[in-house]
Amino acid sequence: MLPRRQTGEWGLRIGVCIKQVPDTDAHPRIADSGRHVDDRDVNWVISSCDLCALEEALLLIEAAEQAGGGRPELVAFSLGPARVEEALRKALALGADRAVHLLDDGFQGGDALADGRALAAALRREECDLVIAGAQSDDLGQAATPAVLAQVLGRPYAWLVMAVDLEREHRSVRVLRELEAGMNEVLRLELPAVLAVQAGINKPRFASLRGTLQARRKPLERMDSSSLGLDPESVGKAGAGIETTAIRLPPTGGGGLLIDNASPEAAAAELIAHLEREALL
Amino acid sequence: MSGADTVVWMVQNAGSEAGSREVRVCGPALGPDLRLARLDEERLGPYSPGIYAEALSALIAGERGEERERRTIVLLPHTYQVAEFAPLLAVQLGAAYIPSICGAGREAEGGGLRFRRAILQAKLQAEVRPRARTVVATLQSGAFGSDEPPASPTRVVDVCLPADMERSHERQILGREAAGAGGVDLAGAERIVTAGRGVGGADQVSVAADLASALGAELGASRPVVDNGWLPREHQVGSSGHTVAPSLYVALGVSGSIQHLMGMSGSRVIVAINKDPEAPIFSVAHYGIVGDLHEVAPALTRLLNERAARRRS
Repeated sequence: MLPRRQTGEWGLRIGVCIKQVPDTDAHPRIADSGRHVDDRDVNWVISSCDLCALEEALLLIEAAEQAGGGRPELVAFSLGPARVEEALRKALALGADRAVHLLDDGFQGGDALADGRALAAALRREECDLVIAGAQSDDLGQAATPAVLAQVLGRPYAWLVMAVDLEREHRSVRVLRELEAGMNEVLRLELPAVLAVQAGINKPRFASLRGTLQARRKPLERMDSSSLGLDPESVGKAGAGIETTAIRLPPTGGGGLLIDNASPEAAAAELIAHLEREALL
Repeated sequence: MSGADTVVWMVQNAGSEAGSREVRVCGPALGPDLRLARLDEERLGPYSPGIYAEALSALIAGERGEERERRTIVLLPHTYQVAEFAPLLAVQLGAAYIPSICGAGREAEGGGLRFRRAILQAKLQAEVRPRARTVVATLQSGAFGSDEPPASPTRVVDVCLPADMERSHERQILGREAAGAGGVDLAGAERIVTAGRGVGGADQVSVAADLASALGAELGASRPVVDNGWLPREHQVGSSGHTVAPSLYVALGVSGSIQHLMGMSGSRVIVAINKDPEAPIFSVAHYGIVGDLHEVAPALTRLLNERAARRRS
């Protein structure tokens, strides 16, 4: 086991969970099996909300340092195959102090519940006071893993967080949470707590060259099912509540009309004619 | 197989009509034993994810315990409140969790349950099979036919706090506030032109603003446009911003995330202009133009302005 770093007199440790996903700007291809996305030629990146989670943790740490009382420690967690190490190195380059890679063949085929159980075990082991993750991933978008962490760890939870402040005097966090219809809610959560942050909460920074060089020397620990004391039946495919049976292109069109005209002027004129017929102009 | 072995719980939030019709349209496809569970702030106290999940799970687990040989499916509308607490409920019930589904049914052969949901930002759809006997599923808004009649439940239950449950102080509500300043009336607008990420930058939003002014429309924005600071948040269309249903909705360079589609798919006529023919926005558009919005939108603006000038003279 690596020695624990000092976390300042407040003794705060923040855990950020990141997921590596296919770059969503590219069009995914369906694999021959019909059940998976073809992962050849995929550019793997950190899911955008998770980058915001990491940035928010860095901002909290910088604010805590400025207020005095030492630097909280930041640990990045990710579950996935060997390629995920690149995402963790990026988190280290951005400013995380340590990284934990949940790497085990037995984790393959897990859903949010199975992966959440494994991540929760690692977060518990590292005694994280505040866990921050993205509100939903760019690939499956289930918005479930952070909630599973909160439930398994037995901690208060807030989803769609748009602002966070550490409240040292209360040992709590004050958060702004998005509601429907353009309303926000202000909440106080006692620590330890789990937060899922919404995209747009901040603008994630870019890694500096110095950060990238430093990242190579920062500790990255691997944990598997047995080192986490997990029942192999509770993780991966065996522990998943769902199974994907097929992946398809979405059904096209609600009978919409494609205005197929090479010239922008002609297309615009044709659209105006349609809008006139619809009595909209 | 008709689902006779299945109990279907349809969950409704008494404080909000959102999604309750869809839950009642989806329910009958899964089984005839339809029970309605009503969540109500008056009975449960102010919303907190832990309390709502626990109260609902106590009810469902209690009845499931008496009917062990049966399968249980819990259907909830995919509102922001539900999407926060439903995964907690799934863990408590030891259930499969299948969020934001756009389709649900049984296989013709064998009667196995199948759910459909969008993945990779609505670029693909996955068909999902639950492996657990209990399923918690949330329903994508707008995905379940508004033409079909909603089913009547065989039983209605108001969800109560379990007797032994204590309200925790771990999460306190300090207040509520509007997310942005006023001045933009998207909800009441008859016409909206929305700028998406495809407009390219803060300095190019004028391409959408010019078209909006030629149409006498309000200016909307997709989430990435707001997140990038190209337009203030009060312009945001989508489930996290304004849900809109104007007569005319013009999407410029909007790819069409699920959240965006949820917020505008009720518009009477939807026009999409996008250079990517595979953009999900085209699946809800009534008129689509595949092309460079920086060419098409100015042409449209010019023709509309000329048309207005002709009418005045």
